[in-house]
Amino acid sequence: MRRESRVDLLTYLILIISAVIILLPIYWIGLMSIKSQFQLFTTSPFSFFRPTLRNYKYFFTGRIDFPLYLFNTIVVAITSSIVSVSLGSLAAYSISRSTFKWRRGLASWMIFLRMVPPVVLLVPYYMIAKILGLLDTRLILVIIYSTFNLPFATWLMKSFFDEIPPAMEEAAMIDGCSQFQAFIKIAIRLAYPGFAATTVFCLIYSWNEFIFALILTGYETKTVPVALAALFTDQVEHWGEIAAALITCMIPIMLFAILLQKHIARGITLGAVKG
Amino acid sequence: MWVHKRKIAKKMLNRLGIKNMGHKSAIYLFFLAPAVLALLIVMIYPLFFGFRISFFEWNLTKRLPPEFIGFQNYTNILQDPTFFIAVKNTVLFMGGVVSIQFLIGFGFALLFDRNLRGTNIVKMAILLPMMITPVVAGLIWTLMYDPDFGFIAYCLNLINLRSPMWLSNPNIALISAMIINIWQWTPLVTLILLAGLKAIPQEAYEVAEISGASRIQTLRYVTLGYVRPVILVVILLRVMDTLRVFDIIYVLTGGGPGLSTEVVSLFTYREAFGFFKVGKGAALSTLLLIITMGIGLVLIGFMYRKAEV
Repeated sequence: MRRESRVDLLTYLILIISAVIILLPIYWIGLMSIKSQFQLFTTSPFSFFRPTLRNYKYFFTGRIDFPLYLFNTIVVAITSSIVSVSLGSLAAYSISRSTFKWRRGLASWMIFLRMVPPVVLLVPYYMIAKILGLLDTRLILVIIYSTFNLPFATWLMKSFFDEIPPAMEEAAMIDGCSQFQAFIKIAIRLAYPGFAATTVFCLIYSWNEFIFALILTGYETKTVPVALAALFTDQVEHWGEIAAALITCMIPIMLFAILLQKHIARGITLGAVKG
Repeated sequence: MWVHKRKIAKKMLNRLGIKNMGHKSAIYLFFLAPAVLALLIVMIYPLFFGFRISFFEWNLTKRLPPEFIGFQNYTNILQDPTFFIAVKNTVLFMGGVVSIQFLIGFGFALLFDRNLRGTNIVKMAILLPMMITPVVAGLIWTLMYDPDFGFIAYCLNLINLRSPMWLSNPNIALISAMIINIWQWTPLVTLILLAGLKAIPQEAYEVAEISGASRIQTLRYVTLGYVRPVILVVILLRVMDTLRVFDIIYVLTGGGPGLSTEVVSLFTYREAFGFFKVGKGAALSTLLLIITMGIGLVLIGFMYRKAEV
């Protein structure tokens, strides 16, 4: 018994120290974002100081167009997530419930598509967007992100639909619902947490996406990751402001992560364990 | 008349292999159609389009039209030493990152599996690096790596050590990039492996204990035996992810110093949008696609064979 509790103590120690180490960079940047220029170089990360919000104020009202970039990113993320989850849920319901012979093939195809490295599509997307006149538009990003999220959204929603027994829809249909009504009233209502989780994943992907936004956006439609990357090469001295920018970019995602961490953990592990 | 039309529709559906009665199946097709269409148009078609472009010499900065040159783009690439350096770096990156992530992640998973109270908060906490935009992670670490004012330099100075030049030393630069990826994604590996560990039935452990197996033997035969498919999935996931690494390196070093962090995706990006040699870029893309898919298929084949055993 005593040996067990010593191992337990060791476990606690390792886990807590590791967690602290893992979170240190975030803590450091957060600290930097509320320090003034002077405090940056004079105070250590472990001492007390008077925090200031000046960096954030400059960041939002200064010469950089960040509110625009935030707006772009938010709009594109929300729109593409809605599209992905909608189309993906429909497809997922179909794959989950139907008895087509080529169901498996379809699912395999989607897994296959997930393996395509984004770089491979850079050149075609750029050329096609150029020809269609869709460079520097939010629309092209929405189209691309929606489609890229589609396989994952479908896969995730399928696992949620799989957990709802078809008997419930059949019962509803016996009571007089049409197939479509059964879908809406039963499947969608019961898979509600699934929608939340899938939407979160799609939002996170769209928010974080970089390489397509890099080549397809211009002045008007730059997204936050692209803007941050560009910002950095110019001002290497104003670390406080850069830190504020980084924290602002991280906060929405972290909020989502904390609010829905149960769903996220479930979504991540779902496919891995069940295959 | 409608009965007649129904019969024809049924025959058509039957030919497609749909066994069920008309109404029920038609709606499933309608549900599938938008998604499949979107994927075909937005993902499959551009792949073929890119493949076609790879046979042309096409420089976007010159006013010349694209010129058909057959496989010459491919031969140029395969004779370019930079290409092989990029491949080498990418493989090194993948190998180093995946193996270290697996070892650390598995260790953490084992620790979490002991189900101690309060470890849930820790689990929540380590989710955070995964959620951060890779670009942001790269930028955070770029600041951390600064040899004068970075956090790492600060800590090393506290114990009177000089900080190595993380980003300007060509021997270390790739490792610096690997550290970032390890930092961000080890939690993911941990979570997935933990789920796999939790799926092991308690009886298996009891049988091992009754049979008098030592701790190491239990670990080897029971734990690893059950967790093997999950391990393969995790490795597949991480290999695929690390082969396509771009954001971190673009932001951290841009491929430098020299060519020490030049990875294949960066090389492709540079050829296509730095030099605007779109044909060569397309050829590189196709090569990368073939290599990535090839590795993926091999790994998946591995998974299915092991599963049967």
